[in-house]
This record gives sequence, C-alpha cells and structure tokens, in this order.
Amino acid sequence: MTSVPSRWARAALLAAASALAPGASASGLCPAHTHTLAFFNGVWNTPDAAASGAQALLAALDEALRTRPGHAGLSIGAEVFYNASGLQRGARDGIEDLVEVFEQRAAELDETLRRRWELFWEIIDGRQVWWRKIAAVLPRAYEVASALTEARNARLIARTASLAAHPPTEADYAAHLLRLRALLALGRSVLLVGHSQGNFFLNTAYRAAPAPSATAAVHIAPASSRTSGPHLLSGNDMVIAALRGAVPGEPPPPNLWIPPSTEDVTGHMLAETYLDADRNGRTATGALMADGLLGLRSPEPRASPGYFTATLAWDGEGDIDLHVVEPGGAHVHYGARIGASGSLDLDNTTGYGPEHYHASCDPARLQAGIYSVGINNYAAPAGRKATIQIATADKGVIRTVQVDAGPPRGEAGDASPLAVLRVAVARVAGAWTATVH
Amino acid sequence: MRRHLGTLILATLLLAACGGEDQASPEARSVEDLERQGQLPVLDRSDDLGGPDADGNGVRDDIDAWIARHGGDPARQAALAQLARSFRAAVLAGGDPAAAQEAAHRNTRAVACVMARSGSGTEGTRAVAEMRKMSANTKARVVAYLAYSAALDGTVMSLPAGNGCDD
Repeated sequence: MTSVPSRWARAALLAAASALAPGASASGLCPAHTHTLAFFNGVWNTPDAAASGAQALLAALDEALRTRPGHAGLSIGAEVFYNASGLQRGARDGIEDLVEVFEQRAAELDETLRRRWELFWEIIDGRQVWWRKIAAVLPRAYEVASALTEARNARLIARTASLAAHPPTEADYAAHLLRLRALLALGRSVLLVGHSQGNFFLNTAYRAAPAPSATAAVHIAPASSRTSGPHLLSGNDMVIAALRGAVPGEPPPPNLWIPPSTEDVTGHMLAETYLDADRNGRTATGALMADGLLGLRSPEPRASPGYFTATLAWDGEGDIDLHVVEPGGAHVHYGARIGASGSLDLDNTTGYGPEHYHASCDPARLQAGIYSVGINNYAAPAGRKATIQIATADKGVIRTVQVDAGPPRGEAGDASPLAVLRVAVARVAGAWTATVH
Repeated sequence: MRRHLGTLILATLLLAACGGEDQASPEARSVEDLERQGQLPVLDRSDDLGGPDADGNGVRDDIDAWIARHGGDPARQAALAQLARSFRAAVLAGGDPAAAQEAAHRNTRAVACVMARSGSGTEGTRAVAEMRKMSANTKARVVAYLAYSAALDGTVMSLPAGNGCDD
C-alpha cells in the first residue's frame, strides 16, 4: 500500500471516529455557546471603542430576543472582528498626520493646549465635551476644533473611498476568516453585524464563510454599497449622507427616521444613535439582529470545543497537516488522532483546511505543560501559506500566525513537523491558564 | 460632498453653542480656572508612559483622584479603576503583538465591567472613551496607544462571559 492510499484509509477512519467527538456539549472548562455575534467596527475605531460597541449591541440583541419565542436555550457569545484601519503607522489618509495637525493647530491657539492630548481624542471620537468648556473661556477654540474636525472628516471620507475602491481581502484578514470557519466547525451559528465602514470587512468575511445557512449579516449605517443582508440606515445619518457621491458606489437608502438629538448630532454613532435607549433605533436594531439570529440553522458540528484549540488553514489546494505534541509526549496528527490530553477532530486532505485540534475541557484529562503546535506540508505545492490560530475557552483567539509551509515532505515530514507555536498550559491555585510563546 | 462636510462641522459648532452643564461657570476665565473648579481634570503629563502611581495600585495617581471625585458609587469606581489599569497596560504594551493581545483581553473585560455598571449603553460608552482620553493624554501616550491598536489589526477579541469585573 502506498503512502497516499494508506492516508486515505486513515482519513476514512477519522471521519467515522470523529462522529464521537464533535459538537459534544461543552463542560468543565469550556462555555457552551450556541451562537456568536461577530461585530465589525468602523475605521479609526480604537479597540476599546470597538469593544464598547459590541457590548452595546449584545445588550440590544438580548433585549430583543427576550420578546421573542424560541430564545430559551440560546447561549450567545460575542466577539469583535477588529480592524485598525487608518490607525496603522504610515496609513494613507490615516490618523498619523492628524496627530501632527493637532499639535500645530492647538499650539497656534494656546501653547498649553498643545499638551492636552485628551482633546485630540475628542476630535477623533466626535464628542467634544471638554473642547466646549475650553471654548467658553477661549472662544478661538471653536475655530481650532472645527478645523481639526474638517481635517478628520476629510480623511475619513478618503479612507472610506479607498475601502470602497479596494475592499479588504481574505488574505488581509485571514484571522477573521479562520475564526469564522472554526466557530462554524464547532456547530455555532454566527450573526455578523457591521457598523459604518466595518461593513466592508463584514462583507469580506461573509462572502468567504462556508456555511450560508448558519451565517447571517446585518448592516448598521453601512458605508458600503454592497450588502450581504438587511440594513438599517437613519435618514438623519449625516455621515453616510456625506459619503453619497464621494465614494464609489452608493450606500443603500435610508429606511428609518431616528429623531435628531444633541447626544449625537451626526446621527451616525452606534451607541449614541442607533442603540440609544430613548429613541426608535434601538428596537429596530435589536429586531433586525434577533430576526437574523433566530433564522439561522445550526451547522452540523465537525469539531469540539477545547480548553484551547488550534486551527490550521492554508491558501490553496493540497494537503498540509496539523501536528500537536502534548506535554506527556503524545504526538497527535492524522495518523494518531487521539492524545492523552486532546485530539485532532478535523483533517483535510484536499485543500484550504481547516484542521482542528482541541485540548480537553475536562480538567481531569487536560495536561499542564507545553504543547508544541506545528505543521507538515504533506502534499501541497511549495509556497503555500499556512495560518494557525490558537483560541482558549476563556479568552477566545489569543494568537494567529502565518508561516510558509515549505516544500512538500510527505510521510517523511511527520516525524519532524515544522514547529510554529508553543502553548503553555498551567494550573495555579486551581485556575487554568494558557499562553502562547 | 463639501456641503455635507460643512453640515457636519456646523453641527459640531451648533452643539458647542448649546447652553447647559457644559458651559463654564461665570467665574471661569481661563483653562486653569476650569481645572480649579473641577470642570476639567488635572492630569499628569510627564514623559513617563505609565505615569506616577505612588500607591502601586496600577492606576495613575491623577486618574485615581478623578475617579474618587467623579466615579460614582464604590462598584462603579472599582470598574473605572479596572479600566484605567487596562488602559495603562495598553499604553505600555505599545506595538508588541503579544503584549497588545494580553492588554486587549484585560481592556475588553474592563470595558464590559464599566458598561455593566453604567446606566445605559451611551453612558458606558462615554465613560470608556473618557478614560481613554485621560490615559493617553500626551503625544507619547497617544502614539503608544495607536501602536497598540494597530498591533491588534485583524485580530478577534472575545467579550467576557459575565460582567468582566475583577472584584
């Protein structure tokens, strides 16, 4: 028997054996989520702003679900599929040169203002509480604030136009896509929700998602002309109105009128407008999300949750294998699926992946120590890029790395896989931790 | 497009012209007066990214003082202190991917905690933004926080189960 037929036979055994494990009810160290809300933030959003937006969305979704039958038994996790668009060093139409503009303009007004960088954030966020107080004693501050706001708005519009002309690619945001695939493999349905320019990133992820009936998209104040699901856009949203004619494609039409408020004069902010508890946007947003989520069908689970998991994918046809060497020495791979601490529950021999290893949720079985996670290019063309993602039960994704899979090595490479990451699992005072080195 | 941009700016100015609690008191004639009256926080602007923390609780001393004065009930103050610690960790992490990821986990938990102990999503969102403003309040801290944010591009951050509060 040659190595290739031998491998196919093992794959058949794997498919049979894997029916025992996937979708097992989470227990012990692992939460048992049925659904995930995946939030895609707008550009120039800092991580904390994206996190507070996701938190507000989850609260609105929870409120809406409580009014609907069929919500009992749902357990919804939420994750931010984060983009730092515009915040990177050297980014075109990015925040970096606004830093310099702020320093110059604030100094022109008053040398002491140049040191007050809290005012910079107020321009970025569009909430000018302290600017207003200062303007009451330094009237010229209005002029400086408006000039900085104009500079900010011009860059945001330029960045949006750039995204519309050149949307983010799957390769750019491989970690997002891999996480989506891992969640679906675990049997979770995913509701993707985007705000503003975040919808460009949502579209990229949604279109690459492998299980259409298990994923749904909801667009809030979309800056993108293309949509992957229903949208909500207020007729008062001045930011999206400013984009019409300024970016390629037309954002979809307004379909809701949220009364204006001094809480957010732009009518565009996620928490202050679309999720404001005192206006109609919140119930409308909640309803759209709840309907989308309740309409999802759970995918057939093919993988199991774990205290930590390792997911592998690659960028083309061919066979690349995931290898995990456990602390006790067990070498888990396609030829030896079940280790002392965990098992390989997904094997892919044709292309793109995913492959998946989970370390047990049972604290009696989980081993403390170092797990060496690696790959072997079994039979894929040289030049393939492999992406490995480590996620833990309590923190979610903790690391994603991309490596060159190297030349194909066949079975000869099984004994010496390319080591990529080490996951250190420890138990201290009864609490488990997992960190990546 | 320019008309809409102008409208956006005008809206900001109109907001600036609104009366109410955001106006300076009649006695304030300078930014320093506003600080003395407690209408603006008195913040550390030293060169050190983390800033002074005399009691070693992980919260910059000036922010500690602000929380004690404006933070509300003890549970909310604890949440704001947790958030302040996480922002300090984020500024110190800068562009190091591993440190940024760990800091982001702490920050996401702290954001959840503040949101859980706020009266509304808007109030919580603003409290989070206000803490960021005060934490990254020098050019060096802004640059470090932007580097931290950029290091997280393309990552996935999970919201915590429960309220995320450390206490």
